[in-house]
Amino acid sequence: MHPRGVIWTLGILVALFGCGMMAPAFISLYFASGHADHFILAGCLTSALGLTMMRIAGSAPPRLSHKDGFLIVALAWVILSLLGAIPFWTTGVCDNIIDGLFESTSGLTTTGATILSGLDTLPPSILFWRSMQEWLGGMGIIVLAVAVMPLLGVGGMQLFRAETPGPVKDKLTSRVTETAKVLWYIYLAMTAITGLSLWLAGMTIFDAINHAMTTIAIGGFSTHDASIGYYESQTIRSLIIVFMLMAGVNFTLHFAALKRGFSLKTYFQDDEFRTYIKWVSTLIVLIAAITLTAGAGTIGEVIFNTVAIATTTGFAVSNYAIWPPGTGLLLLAAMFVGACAGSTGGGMKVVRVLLLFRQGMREIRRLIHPHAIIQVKINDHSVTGPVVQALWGFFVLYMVCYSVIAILLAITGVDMMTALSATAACLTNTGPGFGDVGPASNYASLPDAAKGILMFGMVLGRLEIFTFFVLLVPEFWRK
Amino acid sequence: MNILILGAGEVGFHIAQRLATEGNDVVVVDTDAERLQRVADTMDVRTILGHASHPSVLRLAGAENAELLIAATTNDETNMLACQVAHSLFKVTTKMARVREPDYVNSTGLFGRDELPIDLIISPEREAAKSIIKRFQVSSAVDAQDFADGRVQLLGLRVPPKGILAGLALNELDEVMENISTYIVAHEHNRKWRVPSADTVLLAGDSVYIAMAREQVDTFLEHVGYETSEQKDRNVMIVGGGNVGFIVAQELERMGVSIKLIEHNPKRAQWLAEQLDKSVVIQGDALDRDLLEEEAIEGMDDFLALTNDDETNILGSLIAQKYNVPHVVTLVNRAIYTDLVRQIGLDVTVSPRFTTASSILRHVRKGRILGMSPLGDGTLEVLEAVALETSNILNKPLIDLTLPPNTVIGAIVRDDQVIIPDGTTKIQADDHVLLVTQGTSLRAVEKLFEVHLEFF
Repeated sequence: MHPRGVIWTLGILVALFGCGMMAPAFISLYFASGHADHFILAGCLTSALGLTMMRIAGSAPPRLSHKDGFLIVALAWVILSLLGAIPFWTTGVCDNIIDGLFESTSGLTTTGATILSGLDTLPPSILFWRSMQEWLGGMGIIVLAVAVMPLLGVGGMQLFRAETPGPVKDKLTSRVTETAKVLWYIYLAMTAITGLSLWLAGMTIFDAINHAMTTIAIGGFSTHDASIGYYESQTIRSLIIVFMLMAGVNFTLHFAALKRGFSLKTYFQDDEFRTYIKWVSTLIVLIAAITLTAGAGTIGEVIFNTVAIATTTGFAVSNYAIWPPGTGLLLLAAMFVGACAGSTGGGMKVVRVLLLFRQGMREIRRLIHPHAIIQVKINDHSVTGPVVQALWGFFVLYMVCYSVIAILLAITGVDMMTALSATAACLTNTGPGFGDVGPASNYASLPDAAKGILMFGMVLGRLEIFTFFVLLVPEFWRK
Repeated sequence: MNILILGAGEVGFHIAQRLATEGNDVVVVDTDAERLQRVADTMDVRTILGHASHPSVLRLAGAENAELLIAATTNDETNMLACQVAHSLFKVTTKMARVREPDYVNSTGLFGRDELPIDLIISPEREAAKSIIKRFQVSSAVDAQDFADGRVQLLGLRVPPKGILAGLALNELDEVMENISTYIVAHEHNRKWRVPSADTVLLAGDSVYIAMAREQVDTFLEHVGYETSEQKDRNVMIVGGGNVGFIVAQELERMGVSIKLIEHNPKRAQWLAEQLDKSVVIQGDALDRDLLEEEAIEGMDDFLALTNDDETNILGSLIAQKYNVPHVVTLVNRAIYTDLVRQIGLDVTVSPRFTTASSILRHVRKGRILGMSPLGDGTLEVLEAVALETSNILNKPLIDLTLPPNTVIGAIVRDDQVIIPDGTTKIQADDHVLLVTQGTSLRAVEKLFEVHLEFF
């Protein structure tokens, strides 16, 4: 392990995060809504802290190891969530430390669960900071999901290790930077396109920028209490549906398709993408059938809410909690499956569920042909034993974490429906759940202890369980 | 013709033998002195000891005067390089090479005048697989050969006890065939092959070769009482996942057939399971009865024994026959087995060596004889020839022609049209003619199609 390297890397992240905090200051100056000083102060403090960390560590690390990777990733989310809460306290938007932390963590993990209400009356700088936190979190996730996780092999994600070099040991830095750059360009471009289209569709510039950031980050913070339901325009709703779906696709797939001149064929050749589209379509059909027969909602609402939950964004156009109970469980299942690996979405990821399903089918076929050799394949490549084992391990641990967190939540006094759905919504980084935390209300009413537990759940889900738990094993720290 | 054959392995040996008997000047090159000795002992050819792609060796072997080079060593790279050397240094007109590796074979643009100068690529495994697939498509037949670019098919059949063929005299054939035109060109009774005459009577258990147009094959088989099942609905068990087995499985998969592929080697089985999408790959011993029963061998429509080991193939096929699998194909490499297996009741055999050699020979044949291959036990030969303008067989009703003894004309192809001849049919210039003749009449038949001197 290289402690100096870890501190330096975290330092530069903190310093840049500090610079980012200055951005809302310009917003508040432009809207003359106050709070500029708070943001500038928080930004300066954070940057100073970051620079100090870099100073202490000395120079840029020549190389980082596997273990350093785990440590940096886990600490980055924790530290930045802490620092990101500063403006919420100093501006007085959140009167309680836990609330500020909750909002900040929810933003950086792109969960989109909120304790704030009366968003329409909040100062623009605060709203912008929330959206921006999600957007920055999304940037982190892209690198995490596409470059770091596959390299570290978290939960079977070694599947996505780039084809060329084999397992790269003790050399995390150079490749990650290269990959990250390309992906960030795509991320930026997608955000810009989303913002522009929303603005052209009739949103105000401020709303368009905010929603572009939270859509592409699959976050789900809005600038209105009614979320996207605030906009009556069908164009705006449809645009957001499309962009949510796009953000839920593996970014390396976007890159591959881009290289071949926007070829749709590239997308449809991908097993995960095909499954993702089929899965979302099936959900829409089922939920629409249930909801429309009960007369509880319109087809437009069904499509929007289903896509918002299935991609783990967490926007809403209407209160889906009042739909018939069957839809609730379908939406809960949608949260767990989540979006594609390598996207900004959360959940267990479509590819993992797909592979587990194929593995299950394989066991059935094995009963019929006891001596047959049957491979679990994805995109015509066999998935090796270790990957399948890692997938099972991930699945089991995910479910265990879900149960434990839900039980803890219930112990704090939350009712069962709320506990089960809030845990799912936070662990899968979706945002709104059912019961007391449904789209019509928010997390403010939960006890502080429950908020703390859910914050832990969000980080755990974002770091795909393993990345966090590996730090808790004593062997990790041994030389 | 001056012919240079590189490599005296199974394929090289066989081709050299055929070409030498057909009266060509053949030189065989190999690095193994013992093998060359065997070649020199068996046939009338010149042998050169040395590395097949070395220019000095090729010069010594007379590459400067050679019109044809057949590179059939076991090494792909040597074969390809030898063709290049022969092209660049010795200007050999026609070059053929045996190339195994699918990666080379499937790379378009690799071979050509200005690239790797090879006129014909032969892959024994591919040839064998091709012929197995062909058999699969007409699986009731014991043998199936294509002529005139596949327009005419020569089917080898065993006369079934039931159906209209048994007890039929040939002069009644046209009557019972209704509107299907066929011609029986070879007949076997008590292991003796001969060209049938009008009063020949077919008995159950006899074998026959029948010429017909490709499109009529299915109707014909149905008419004479064979079951023709939809290819797609068939269950096929393949034993042996080597190159041949793999290519066959891939092709059949593409046709939508359901396949069980048994492979002994665990690593190879893994690889196969990875490459094949729909086939069930089973790792195990092909002769393991429990395994075969577990995989319901008794319900199979086809059993293809395609391992590298002749004995395994033969035994496996016998087991399959015991379970009443209707169509059994046996891959046999060694020449002595080919005759043996017929006697123990395995009718359909495929020999990579043989199929490769005959496909090379088909390209080698010069002039007006396009194809020639032995039928049955080899006493009969089938030829495809082009009728020349100067030939004296033209424009006479066939009944008036004096053909060499034991020779029949089974089919004529004129401008894409297949004509099954009768006594009144006349051959025209540029017709493709399918003849069957006895080995002893071969030279006389070839004379009929040669270019006459007065033509010049």
